[in-house]
Amino acid sequence: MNKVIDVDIALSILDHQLVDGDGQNCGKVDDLEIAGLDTDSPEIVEIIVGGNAWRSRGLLGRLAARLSGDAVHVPWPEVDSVTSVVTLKRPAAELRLNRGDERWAALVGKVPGS
Amino acid sequence: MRGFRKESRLLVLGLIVGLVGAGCGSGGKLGVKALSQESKSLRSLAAEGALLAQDAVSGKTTRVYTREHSSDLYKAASQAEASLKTAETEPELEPKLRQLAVLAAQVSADLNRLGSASKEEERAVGRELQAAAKESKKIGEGLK
Amino acid sequence: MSVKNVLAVALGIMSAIGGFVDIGDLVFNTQAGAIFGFQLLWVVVIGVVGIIVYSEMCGRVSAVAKRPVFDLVRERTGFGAGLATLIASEIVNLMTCAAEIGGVAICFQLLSGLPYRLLIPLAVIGLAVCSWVLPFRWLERVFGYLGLGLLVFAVAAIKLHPDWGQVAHGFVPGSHSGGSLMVYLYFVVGLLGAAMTPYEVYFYSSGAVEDRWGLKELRLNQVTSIIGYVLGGFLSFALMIVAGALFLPLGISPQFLGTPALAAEHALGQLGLLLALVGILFAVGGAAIETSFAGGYNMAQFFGWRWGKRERPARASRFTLSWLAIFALALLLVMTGYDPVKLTEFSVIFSVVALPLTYLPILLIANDRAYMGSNVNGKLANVLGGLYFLLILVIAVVAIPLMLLTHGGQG
Repeated sequence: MNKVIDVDIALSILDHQLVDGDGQNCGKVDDLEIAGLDTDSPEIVEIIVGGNAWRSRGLLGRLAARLSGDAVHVPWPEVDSVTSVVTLKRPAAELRLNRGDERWAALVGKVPGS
Repeated sequence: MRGFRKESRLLVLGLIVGLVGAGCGSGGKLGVKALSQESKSLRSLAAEGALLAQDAVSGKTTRVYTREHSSDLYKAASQAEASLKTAETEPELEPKLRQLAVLAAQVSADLNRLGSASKEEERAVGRELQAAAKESKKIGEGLK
Repeated sequence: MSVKNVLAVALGIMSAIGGFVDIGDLVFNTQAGAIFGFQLLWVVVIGVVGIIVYSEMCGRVSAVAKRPVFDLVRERTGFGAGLATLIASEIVNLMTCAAEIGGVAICFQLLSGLPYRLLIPLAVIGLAVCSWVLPFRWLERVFGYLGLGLLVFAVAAIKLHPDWGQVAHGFVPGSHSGGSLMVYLYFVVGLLGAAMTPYEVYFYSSGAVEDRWGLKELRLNQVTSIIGYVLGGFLSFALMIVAGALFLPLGISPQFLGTPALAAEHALGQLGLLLALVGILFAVGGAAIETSFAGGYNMAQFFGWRWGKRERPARASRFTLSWLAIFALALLLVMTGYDPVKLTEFSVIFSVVALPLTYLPILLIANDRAYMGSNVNGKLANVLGGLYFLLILVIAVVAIPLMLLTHGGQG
């Protein structure tokens, strides 16, 4: 995917669903790191997912950020395609996404039939 | 959409107002309207009890249902009895209040009996509750 | 239409009928009938059309975009608005779930005689186990079919020989004899809120994705929603007619969940009583499951987690914990001993207040060509959707004032 991108297009993928290489949900585009905003060719450096990515989203966002761990940074080259969802090339686990599900899987797994 | 922030503030405000409003009781003396309400709810409990009793006699209910539902009715009636006993009102409404208090005690006792009554008792309780319902209705109409 | 299709439609309709009536409908329709007789029947019609309009939109969004409506709320309306919608719907989901659980416990009590306080945790455990073990379609079917016991109220309505002329008059808004104008309006709001519950449409939308609907199922979507909800509406009529025919003349004001069952047994004896109690139990129990799942779906879809009954619970662990948490919190709320009927009234009124926030995204997304392509709302859907949205705005504003002014419909 082309790194140089219109800032409007970049912002238009904010809050969109992230889907990994296996077609699994792995969070939303919670924030974006864009370099060179003041130049002719701004670039999306990375997508920031979860955790304290919500710091910039108002009061409730800051509260949520404080309750969460570190955000995951997904470098832009990991993106395979952008439609209404942002599809990544590799599985979520390799990118350290969906750790939340893994963290709680142990607890949920104690119940038979899970 | 910015408009949503206003919506959510209104929602929170409404929630607070609602909770506060629900918590506020109405202490003090009972006026005509309040007494009329009491007579209406007493009539309702008595009438429902009567219906239950009559249906129990004709075998339309189950023992469990008669026992459990009459117990719920009894709890409500004894609450009404308790509050009417200690309630205060204007001097000219005193006789009506006392009438209702006595009636509430009767209804309450009848509903209590209904839970474990034999068929004969159910018949008797049904008749008494029906009379109590009529009485309550008369008191209510007299208050208008 | 092939046999398989006809069967699918029939099954869908049956579960919609049993699933349409929940404790809010039970309480408000019965109370409205006991005070105003048949004069509020027209409101039920408006409510049924309203939920048909919006649930058709929801189903269409799911079939075309292959994602449920709530999943699209955050990206369509932004983080802040999406979060406000999430919070509002979770509060309402929780209150409603608690009210439904209270209803299940009461039905068990009236059937078994076991103490209410003991039955509350038993009810929650039972519902949670069903939700855990049964696949999605089985959940819908089992609770939907057994909820059909409610049909006994339709039979009872006929057996009680109401004045059918008066009943017919009830479909035209007219007088409000029997109560003050304020109480009448309170019940208009409550009946609309009980019919157009947001959790119902969000659950329907996620359910469509769970069932993997595509464009082929669009027609199925329209047919099942319309027929299912219309027949469900008839059940609401029955509840109101029964109350108007039996309770109003006797001056009985239904304060308990056992009271509608009393009407069924009066008209049809022990069999009527048992069918009514079992029907209420499963209709209300199914609704409890729907609200807890709607809560789980909303959380997962806002944050982008894995979700769905078809996932193994441990794989979509955050989604699983979300719906379990709703059950747990609802359990705590019911254990406070707060009267379930009053809790129901609160949950319906609060869901009315949240209706604009929960319905607007549906209207926006169903009109968005980016998701819907050529399947965006047609003129009819938009006219109806827009009119209903205005109605929803009005009732959202007046709901709490009316509740306070009339002391919860007591006058």
